[in-house]
Amino acid sequence: MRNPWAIGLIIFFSLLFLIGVNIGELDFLYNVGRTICLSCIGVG
Amino acid sequence: MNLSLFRRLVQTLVALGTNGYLLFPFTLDIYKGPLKAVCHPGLNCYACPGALLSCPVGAFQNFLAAVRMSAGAIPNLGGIVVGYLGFIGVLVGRVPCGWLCPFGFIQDLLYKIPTPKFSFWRPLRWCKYVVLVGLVILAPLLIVDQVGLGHPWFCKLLCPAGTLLGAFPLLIIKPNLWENLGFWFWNKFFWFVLIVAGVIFISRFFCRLLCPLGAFYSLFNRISLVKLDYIEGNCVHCLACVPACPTGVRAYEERDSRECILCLRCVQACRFGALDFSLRRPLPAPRKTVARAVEPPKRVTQPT
Repeated sequence: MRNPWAIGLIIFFSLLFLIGVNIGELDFLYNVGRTICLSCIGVG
Repeated sequence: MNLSLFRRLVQTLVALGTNGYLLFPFTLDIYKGPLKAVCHPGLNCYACPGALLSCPVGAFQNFLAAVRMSAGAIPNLGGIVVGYLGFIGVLVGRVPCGWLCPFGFIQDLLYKIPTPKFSFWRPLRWCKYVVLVGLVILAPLLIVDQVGLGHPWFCKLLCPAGTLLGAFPLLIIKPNLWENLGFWFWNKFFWFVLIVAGVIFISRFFCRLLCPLGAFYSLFNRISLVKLDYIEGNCVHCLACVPACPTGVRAYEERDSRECILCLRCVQACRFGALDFSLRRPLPAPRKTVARAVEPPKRVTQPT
């Protein structure tokens, strides 16, 4: 089975990722990651 | 090397490698280095003291939960996480579930506990899509406090990886957290016990029933560049592949199943070479120019 969607989706998700990086989501992700998630622990 | 052994080795290395911050017993804190700007491809709580990477599900919920706080600027909708996960999904489908997810690995180990095993009622597999849409996307967006800040509801209500890898170790290294334990913790603890019990008796119970990450990756199983190939001519319908599959896929009749985590246990179980791991062509193969054979002249029958 051939899959013409794959290339289009790869481009779409790559663009989505790059737009995210360019609008500062990397910093947000970094800040989220280095904060202790109280919801995960169940105390907040 | 045996394929199962190789997969187990990969799972072990990924689980230990991505949770390899060994200084936490001394710092009594989680890892806060630059790797936290990268998401794990599997479900791995970033509150785990050893975690080197961020959890994609937790991070995405936090993006949505804070979307109202970015007034005036371009809202951060988590495109970086969706792009990252979608890219992986299109390339390899649910391979991360079978090979890279630390919580999937833990489930595989727990299922080895010798107890009676039960099958999974298949319609329940749709629950994970409800969890993805309801708890991971809609709830953080819509349920907000007075300031306009939402919560990561999947992490808060349900996530067993958070309880096991985040809550338990942190409660050990930070005893002051015990003072804040209340309804939310005991609710999560209840779900954790229920899920662990399910995992011991039903193979990959959490992946099949509740995992939102598996639900997301499964959307790409029918178009991903890798797939499980079924060679009908070789199949003798011995059904050896059915008990081998941890997610209950009948590989001989379900092509490109959304439940398939490409662990390749069925490939190993099949002695007739009817199942194989193969690549799916993203584009049609180039047409070969074949010299057209000269057609024989049409016989014309003259009317008499």
